[in-house]
Amino acid sequence: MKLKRRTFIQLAAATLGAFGLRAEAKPFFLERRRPWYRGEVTTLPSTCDQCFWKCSILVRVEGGRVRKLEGHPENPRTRGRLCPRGQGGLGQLYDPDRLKYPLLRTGERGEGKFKKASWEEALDFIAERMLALKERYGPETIAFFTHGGGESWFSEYLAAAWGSPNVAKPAVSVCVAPRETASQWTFGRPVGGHAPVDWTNARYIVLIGHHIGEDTHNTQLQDFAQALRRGAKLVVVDPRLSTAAAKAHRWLAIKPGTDLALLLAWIHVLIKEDLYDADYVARYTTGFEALRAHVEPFTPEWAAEITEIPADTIRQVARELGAHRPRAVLPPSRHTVWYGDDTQRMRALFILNALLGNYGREGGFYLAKAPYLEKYPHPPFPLEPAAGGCGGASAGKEEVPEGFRPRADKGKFFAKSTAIQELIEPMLTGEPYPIKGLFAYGTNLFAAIPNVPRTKKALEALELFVAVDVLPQEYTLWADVVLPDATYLERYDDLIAIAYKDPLIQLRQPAVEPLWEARPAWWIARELGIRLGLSRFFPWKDVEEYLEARLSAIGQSLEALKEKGFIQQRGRPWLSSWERWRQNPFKTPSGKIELYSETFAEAGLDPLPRYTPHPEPPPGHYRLLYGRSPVHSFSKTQNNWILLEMDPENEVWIHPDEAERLGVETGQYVWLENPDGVREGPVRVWVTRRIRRDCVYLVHGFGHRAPGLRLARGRGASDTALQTRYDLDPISGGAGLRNNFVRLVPGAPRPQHPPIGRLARERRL
Amino acid sequence: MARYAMAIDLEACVGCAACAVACVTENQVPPGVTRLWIREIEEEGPSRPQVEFRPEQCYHCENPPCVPVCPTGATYQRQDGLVLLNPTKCIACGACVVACPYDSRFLHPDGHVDKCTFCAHRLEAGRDPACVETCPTGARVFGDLEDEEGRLRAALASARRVDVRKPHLGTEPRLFYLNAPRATGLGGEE
Amino acid sequence: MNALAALGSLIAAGFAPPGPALAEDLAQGRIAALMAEVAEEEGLSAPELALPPFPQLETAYVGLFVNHPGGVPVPPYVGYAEDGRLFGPAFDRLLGFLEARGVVPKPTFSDLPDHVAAVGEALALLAERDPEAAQRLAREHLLPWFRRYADRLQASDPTGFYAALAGFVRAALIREVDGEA
Repeated sequence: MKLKRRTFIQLAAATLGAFGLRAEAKPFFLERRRPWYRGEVTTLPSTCDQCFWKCSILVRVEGGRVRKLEGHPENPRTRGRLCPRGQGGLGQLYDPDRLKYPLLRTGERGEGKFKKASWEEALDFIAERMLALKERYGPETIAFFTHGGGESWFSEYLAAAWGSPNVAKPAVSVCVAPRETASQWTFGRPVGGHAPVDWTNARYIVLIGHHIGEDTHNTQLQDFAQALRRGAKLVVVDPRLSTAAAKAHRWLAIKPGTDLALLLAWIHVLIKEDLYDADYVARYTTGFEALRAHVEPFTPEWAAEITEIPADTIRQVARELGAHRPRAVLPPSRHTVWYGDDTQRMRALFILNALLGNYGREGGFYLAKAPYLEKYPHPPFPLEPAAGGCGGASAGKEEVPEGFRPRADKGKFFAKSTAIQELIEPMLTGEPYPIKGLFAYGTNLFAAIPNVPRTKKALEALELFVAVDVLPQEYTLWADVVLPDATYLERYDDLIAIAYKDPLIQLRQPAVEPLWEARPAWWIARELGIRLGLSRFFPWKDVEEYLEARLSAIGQSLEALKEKGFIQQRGRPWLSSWERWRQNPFKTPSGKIELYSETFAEAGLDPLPRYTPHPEPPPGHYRLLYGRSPVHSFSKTQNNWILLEMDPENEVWIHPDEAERLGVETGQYVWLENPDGVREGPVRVWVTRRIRRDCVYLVHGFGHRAPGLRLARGRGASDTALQTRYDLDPISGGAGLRNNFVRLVPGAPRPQHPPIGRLARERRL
Repeated sequence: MARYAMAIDLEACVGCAACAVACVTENQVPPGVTRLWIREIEEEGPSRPQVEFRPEQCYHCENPPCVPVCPTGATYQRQDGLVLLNPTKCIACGACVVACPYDSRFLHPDGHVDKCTFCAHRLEAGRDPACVETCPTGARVFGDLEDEEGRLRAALASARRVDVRKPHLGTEPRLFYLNAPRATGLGGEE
Repeated sequence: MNALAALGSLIAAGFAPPGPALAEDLAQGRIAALMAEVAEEEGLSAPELALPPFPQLETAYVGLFVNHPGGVPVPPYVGYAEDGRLFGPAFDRLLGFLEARGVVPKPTFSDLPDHVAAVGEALALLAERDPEAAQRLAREHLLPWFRRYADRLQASDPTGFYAALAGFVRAALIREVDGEA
């Protein structure tokens, strides 16, 4: 034991400040042989961010670690229950693959060579380049793509202060844009993030491709289950026997792409056989006569030929809808971007609901109200980017303030909100003007936007690309600067406004300090804003000050909200109550529900929905359909071992007759190849009668290539990678994704993955 | 004396696995092993395919075959019906794992056998097991089989049909499956 | 200071993210000099320390220890090396061991307290107050990390700097702890 003292050389770099000396030791992260619930547990309320539903949760913390997540028992939307993603959230918090430090790129885009930087260095780097680009090209040259609970600090705050109209969210044009646009121009109201369907009072429910049960949107799933328990009849229209279809009284295995014909035929029967609510139509709608004339030829027989659903069945369902009105409802699904005529399909759906007289009535749609909240009193932003969101900015005329340019996708489609996939072209072509910089927050570009090769080319053409994320998703390898986002359990976000029967304001607050050097979005936005010369828009010094100001403006306090977790206000869900108060909920140009849209006609669009056929799969190909796994959220949960164990890979569903023709069996692996030569897989085959012969099905979000995601990488196939084509909806700007076709190439090798348990515990990477 | 039991309504269950995930975090179940899993069974139905989503876990049987084979008495059954295991007495011989006909038991990496405990620690505090509490479709019901006015008895009484796994073995499981989609009972059973 | 403290300081300086302090130490030849001193003390030979251009060192560091396509080949966490996960039983044992001897992690440190560089600092602090405990720390926690990863660093380190340093530290720790090669 050679511990004798002598003078050794002192190193400057040896003082890390990691440890200190204390006379008395204090317990910290000490392991107890006892379970967490036997320890000292603190509980605080917060809001989940595993998906957009924003459930109110209780976070149980013990020994300085988050141990359990539970649904808030008193919140009227959560009701003490929580979906699997929410339950598994702490797996993301403690994911060792998380981004830890700001990184600056030192190699080529996509190579993955970075050096660690301090936050100061990284933010200075970004600000310097943003200002230089603004000088040459104008503020609009920086695009902001955002998704997730912290997005508003960039999409609604920083981008507005900066002055770029090119702010886009995949949740809009790759999801809800068609239904929001259709709803705005039919009812003069949004659908909103939480579709205002009064499930529990409905007696007859028809779902069009709505994957309830595979998507686990908490309140909706609870209400849906309750509706069925109370004896509601369920009809599901879907080329695939989804989980919801498995619960249905009728499954209509519709030919893909023909839903609009079915809806028109139902409208036809309702009108022809006098099954619609004539009183409701007379009181609240306009354009009925035009509608009647329009649907005259759309008989069940006509639709039967197109949809491959028997005419009798079509007629039967229409009669049942009519018989159960007004407690008969066709809920609008999310992810409505299918074939490029999606706004018109959603229009038909909403028209049908209106004919049933259910809008604003029990068993149909309630009139959701957004909570009353005041903005923080910052100086007015130079412009308000029309990024849209779950409930907003898809209607009306766009205002372009003096001295600013309109958004770069203007004129490509009718609606006001941006379309993320249409902002890629300007990065490549410089038309209508160049977009030279991209700031991406929580947006997995290669899973969220179709035509991935085009996206990669665009990223290479950029002069500045900043990626802010929790995980080292593949797209971060292309960034010039990568910033580590704090997870939702480690941060405050802006107040969460939830439109509901009785609206809610919810808080997201940190349960633990951020690990490594992860920082919350509010901090990043503010620090960057100050460096960009926008300090006047950030007069608050920290987020608590910001939140307190907003809350005291409505007579509340942050302290109280930190205890309670949410505030509920009074809503006005039913039409009858609006009428009593002589108020009109329908903010359309005519003030009525517009069955016939004058505005569309004036814009050269079909004022009433028409069916147009869509491309058929080429010989030997299948239409690629896709959906959700109940335990996964897009592409962000596949590296979370708790959730990945429940569903480790996606599988391609194929009909037995087709499987036989191809010579494949369940459990074998195939490649999927599209006509553009993109090949994905190997992916496991699932042979099932639950799908039509002309299509195949994959759960979205797999096929990760990010090498930094040790658990997720190489599992399954990416549907997005195969979606090299899309059909632009000329009304909403939505990117229709279901005209993508694939063929199955048998004989792929079975991937050799170590079991997840071992990977999650593994010593080697 | 209470007799705890559970019921799962297979008509309501969508196989979302919220219960399975809640169990992992509540009970700190490590990766690679599981107390609770979802079995998805697809069969031909009268007019279209039929799907049964069935969560499986320890059934806390009335005649548990795992208890008599334990050489150290680590595994035991309480008066209230819960079949539990004391990890400090367990020598991980594995006899109980083999004895269970439902594959409910497993060897925990810490060197003892483990399985569903009906969240006994929650029952102490008057709370439902974690799986029951979180279930978004309300498919799960937990309670006292002896309580005639209780929710569990009400659920059993109002069900179209009530099944247990492998009834011919005489284990008398105390987790009841309600409203199995197939007219003749649970899917995939030998 | 004693040899263990010197080793601890070498580990702390060498395996922390490269910054201005390390650049200065390298430029002044202090790292090589300290290694030479420790080598003399332990009866070892100090290796040639390759000195790549500093930007290369920075990139290599991130690729080895922070984020790398293909996955980080050398996770810098001592607890992870022992039980394959973060915040596992080894982590808790290590922290508990240190706390019981008054060496406590500072909340201002931005990485996990079982980062090998941090544990190097802990070794240096402990070696002065409690040499026996320092021995245990070296044997039970640091040496396993170096045993596991010194060869991997040889294979993965494009600069050769970390590989050489790790190989040397491993040999020196073995000397200190076992008294044999």
